[in-house]
Amino acid sequence: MISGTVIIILLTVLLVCLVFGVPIAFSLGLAGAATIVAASGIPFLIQVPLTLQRTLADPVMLAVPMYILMGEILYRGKVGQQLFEVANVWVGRMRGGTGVSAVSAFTFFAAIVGSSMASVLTIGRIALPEMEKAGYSKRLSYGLSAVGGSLGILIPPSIPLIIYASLASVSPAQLFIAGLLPGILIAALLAVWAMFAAPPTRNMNTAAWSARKALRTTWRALPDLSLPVIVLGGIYTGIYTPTEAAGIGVILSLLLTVVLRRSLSLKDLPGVLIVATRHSASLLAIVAGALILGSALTLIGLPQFLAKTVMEAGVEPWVVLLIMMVTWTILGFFLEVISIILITVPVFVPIAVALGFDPLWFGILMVLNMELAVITPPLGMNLFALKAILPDEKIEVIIRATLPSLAIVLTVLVLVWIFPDIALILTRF
Amino acid sequence: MQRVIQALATVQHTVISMAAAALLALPIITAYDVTLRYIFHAPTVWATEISIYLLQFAVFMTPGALLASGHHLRVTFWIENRTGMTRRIAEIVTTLAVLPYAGILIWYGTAYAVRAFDRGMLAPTLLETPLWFIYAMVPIGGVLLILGGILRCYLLAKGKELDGNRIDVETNI
Repeated sequence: MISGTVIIILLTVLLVCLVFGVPIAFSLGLAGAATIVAASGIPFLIQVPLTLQRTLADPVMLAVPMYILMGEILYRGKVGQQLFEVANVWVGRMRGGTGVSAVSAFTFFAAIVGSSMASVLTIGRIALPEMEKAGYSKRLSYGLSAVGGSLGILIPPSIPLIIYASLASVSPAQLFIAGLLPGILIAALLAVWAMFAAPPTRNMNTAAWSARKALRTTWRALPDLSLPVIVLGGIYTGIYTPTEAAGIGVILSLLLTVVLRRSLSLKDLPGVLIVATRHSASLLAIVAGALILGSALTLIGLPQFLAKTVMEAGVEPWVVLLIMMVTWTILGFFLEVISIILITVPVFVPIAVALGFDPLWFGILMVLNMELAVITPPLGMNLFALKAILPDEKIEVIIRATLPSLAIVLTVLVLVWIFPDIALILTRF
Repeated sequence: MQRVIQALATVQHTVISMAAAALLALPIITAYDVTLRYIFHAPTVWATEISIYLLQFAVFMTPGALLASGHHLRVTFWIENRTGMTRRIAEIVTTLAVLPYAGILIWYGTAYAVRAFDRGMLAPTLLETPLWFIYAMVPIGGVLLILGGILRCYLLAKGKELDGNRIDVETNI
């Protein structure tokens, strides 16, 4: 039986620390430590270093800093420009072509990096001025950029999927495959939205279009286009693991930006490394804090208790799933994606498995919810990324403009919920 | 006092630089290992193990530097609505709240490392790395966390300008 006092201590320490601005990593760690002390006594704090050492010995975790470094290199090396130009030269002529080009570039970039903010900052910086030139409404251009950027965490490789795979003990490669179709579906819906909602005027670049020019632009961008093919192709064909793919991706990104394009100089590299180190270390510090909390929850048996209670109460599985999604949505207002995953996965996955849900499908549903989290205020990271690109625009305007685009993610979320095969069908081959 | 603070900042800056070097080493080691595996059919026996130690170094040793410069992620809706002295006091209190966490890392991390040393524990791999050496990163990280907290509190008390919630350790001292 779980002590109510222990739960109250856990929630009090966690909420007080979070609300008053203690870094998330330490809030989680302190809540975990307080729970361990309350449940089992001070000597059990030996669990803390033990848990940290054990979990950070998981080779899957190596992928996280490498994908962050790769995203930073590609962002600072302006790789998005080439991707957008290729897309624009092929589809720019149709109605909504600039928007479709932006979506294509977002999708392609998502297939190289595993972060949504990096996608918005890289592609959004190039696509937003083009969409403004083509007379797009803010609702359309901001919406396409916010949701398009969020594809970074769904289309593989994805940092949230890697962390989910590690916590839920599922294959990261299988999870990557499961994220592919839902990601493409969102991209397709965004493209359709762009085609219908864009002004009927044609793209200004179309007058000078020729097949030769299009092929030349594509040829020039071939190294950029081959990056996701090498990174993802290697994973899907089993040549290397997602972690090894990240390492190879970093080396190729360096070759592309430093040697081939020279868009990044060797002088810039220390700066790139320091920023990537800060991002990685702050993210992995949260992972460490959450692991302490997770081990405390396991110690008091909360996940198993909740799973048993749910089973015995005879609640319909879809109701439980809905409650989980509402919880994700509420947490998404205040916490960033990785923290939400780390806090909820150790509790939710045992319940989901007990209810008979496929953990791969459950992971994709979770990341779709996280896509909503990155585009909803007050802590929508993609909204802040848009604000960084548009310093003169008020954040309220950005929020209002991007809200309608939530409908697209919600539609795909409902579709994947009703038809799990959208996520699972490719994993069976 | 200024020299002590400068020394603290230098320590944290050095740790971040070392972690950045470790981060750069990860893809190089990984790509090297994959290349050896496919071209020479002879993968290394050390690549994954060393990579994990480098990752642990970056995760365990850097929280202090990130705390000092305010680069840890946190929920800011309450603290960002405070201004002036109230904001600085709130920042100092939230920084001090980290100390119990650091204390746990130091005390129990040391106990864990000492036990590994006394028992002569080795990693169950071909490298047979002494585990006390690896386990010692946790308490050392705890000490660095306390030093980072002291540095941040000093800077806040001295009224150093806050950039959002960040203080640039490298440039503001």
